[in-house]
Amino acid sequence: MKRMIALELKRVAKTRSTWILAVGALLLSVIMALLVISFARHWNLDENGTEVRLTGRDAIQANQEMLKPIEGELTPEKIRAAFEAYHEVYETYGAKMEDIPKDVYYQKISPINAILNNVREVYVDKSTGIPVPLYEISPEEAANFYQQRTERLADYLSKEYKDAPDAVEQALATNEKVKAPFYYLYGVGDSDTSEYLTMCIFLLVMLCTVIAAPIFSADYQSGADDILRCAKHGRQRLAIVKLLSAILLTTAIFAVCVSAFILISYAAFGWDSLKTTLQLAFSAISFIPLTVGEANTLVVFSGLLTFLATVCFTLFLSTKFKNPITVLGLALGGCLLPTVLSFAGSGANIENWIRLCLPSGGVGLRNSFFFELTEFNFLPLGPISVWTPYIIPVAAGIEIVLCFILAVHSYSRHEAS
Amino acid sequence: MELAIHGLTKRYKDKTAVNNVSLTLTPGVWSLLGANGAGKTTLMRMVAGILTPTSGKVQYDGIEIKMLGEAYRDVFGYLPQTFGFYPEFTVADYLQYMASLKGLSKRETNQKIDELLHKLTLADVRNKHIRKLSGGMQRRVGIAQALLNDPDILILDEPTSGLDPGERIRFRNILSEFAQQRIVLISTHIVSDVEYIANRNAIMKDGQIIAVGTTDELVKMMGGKVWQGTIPAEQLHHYERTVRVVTVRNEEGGRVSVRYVSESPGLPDSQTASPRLEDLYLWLFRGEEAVKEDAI
Repeated sequence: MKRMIALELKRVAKTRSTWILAVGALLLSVIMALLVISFARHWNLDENGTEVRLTGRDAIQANQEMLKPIEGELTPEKIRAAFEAYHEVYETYGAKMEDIPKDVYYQKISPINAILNNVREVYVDKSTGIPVPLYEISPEEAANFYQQRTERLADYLSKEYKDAPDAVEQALATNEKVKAPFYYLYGVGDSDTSEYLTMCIFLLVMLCTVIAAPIFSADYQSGADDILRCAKHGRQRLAIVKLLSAILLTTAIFAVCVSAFILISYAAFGWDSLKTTLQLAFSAISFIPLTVGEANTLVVFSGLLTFLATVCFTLFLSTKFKNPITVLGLALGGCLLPTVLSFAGSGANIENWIRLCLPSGGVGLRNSFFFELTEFNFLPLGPISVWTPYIIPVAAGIEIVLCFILAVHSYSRHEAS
Repeated sequence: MELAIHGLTKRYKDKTAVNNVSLTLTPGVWSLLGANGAGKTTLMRMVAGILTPTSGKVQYDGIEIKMLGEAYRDVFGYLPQTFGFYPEFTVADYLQYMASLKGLSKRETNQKIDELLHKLTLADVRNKHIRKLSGGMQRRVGIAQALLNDPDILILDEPTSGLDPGERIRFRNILSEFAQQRIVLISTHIVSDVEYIANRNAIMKDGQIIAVGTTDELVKMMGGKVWQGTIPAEQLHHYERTVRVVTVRNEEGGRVSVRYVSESPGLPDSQTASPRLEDLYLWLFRGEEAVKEDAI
């Protein structure tokens, strides 16, 4: 079996289209990581008092320098101090940004903006849900951030899921595991790394679909299959070998490309910044007890499952059709279907179930495991509510096994035309 | 050892490709002769186990091949009419790949590949991509893969198409040597390829086996039906409409010597000639376009 896998890997790897796609995937991953770095921004005043904008690595370094004072645990004292600084500026210049002199803004407000934005998110008008103006939040009230956050979360959930109390219970129980005080370090959480990581995985899914599509169907088309299936191990064992080889090869491409993306972006934004609490990077009232690094690891893990589910689904299609172009069309259509549903769908529960359960349901332009992780979505399953990030990896896991078995069965039973 | 075909039928929506064929193959070279579309390939694919018959069965030593599964494929070698290969592979890569599928050990593989490449004069191109080889060489690679596991049953569908005369002679010799104690079934519409090496022949027409026998037995059926006569060259066109011409040879004085098959003499001063398998083929396929290949 090992020898067969090695020879099949050699065959697929020798196919020109495979290595062109693999090199393309790696280039794309590197470019996307560099794009994320290039999106970093920092505004300040130069020695002459002129506003300057830094981008890329310069911006990252400047931001790291500027935000050093608020690094570490976000204690109530630190929050109080930030609001005292804000009120000082507010009492002198008012609340409008344009009334604050630029040098004052860049020196006093920019370094504490991250704290102000998070606190503002949890102080909202209960009747309208609109955030209270910052100047109405006293430093003492702001220091009560963690208590207020829990109340705001409970309030939000009870309104959003008034018909599903178990969803509220689940979310609040999970929230109890969120560690306070939060931890903050400028870096990955302040960038678009997570969004682009999802996008990178989505593109890898598409590219590896192209690699997987002809694995069986091209043999049917060329007639090579007639000879193969007359050999001793040319049926079930060959099907398993071809599936395992395709999975190994595409997983290797996934691993190399995702590693390249992560290494480049994390190295630029700082590995230490992965310790930042997720709530400070996305939403203060998020109930997930994770750091930015842990969340991204889950995105990669779920992405790999989605990736493998899509590859296995494509391989299954490949065992069914004689024309690789037909397989490719169907497989790419399947890849894009969750995205189409998320853009054009009505948002009905059944539609969301379908979207999340499709092999590529975990990656897309507007649908992804990452988006589900940072949002507050539950779907009903009979009397219970299921948190949507659980659905994607479970469905993908089932599909990997199911498509693998179906592909072996389908290839073994395939009949020459 | 015997391969028994019992009432094999393959029916498609609008056509019966193979119609109730029964045949028992014993060790030796068997030729399956028939015009294009006679059902030879369909029959062979069913014998190879890659096409399910509508009805009937194939048994190897009394056991249905479907039941034998891997054990049948272990003693089986097959070259289809269209040799599909992996374009990215060199000759050696491809044969290694096929050898692993046939369950050969690494040592056996290297030994067998060397032997076959030498026999089929492919040693010089072992590291060349198959797609870059001539049609004849590709065909020989196809024959090599079929022989890798020293099969007890070897099925070759039009193995000589694309081979030049020298290659065809070499192929015949390899096959004669190989066929000892093995069942070899060769389908072809080129009679001369099998006339001298086939122990037995089966002739197929419209999905049915219409004649089975040794070359001598079959040729006997043509006794008194093969003629030879000499006519002026300008009359050839006229006689071609009345008799089935086998060969034409130019003679001196603007005349041609014509060998033809007919129930009775159709040319003036005709004499009977000793029949050959090719004559029988043309006789049986009188209504169809014959493929004339020069005898080697």
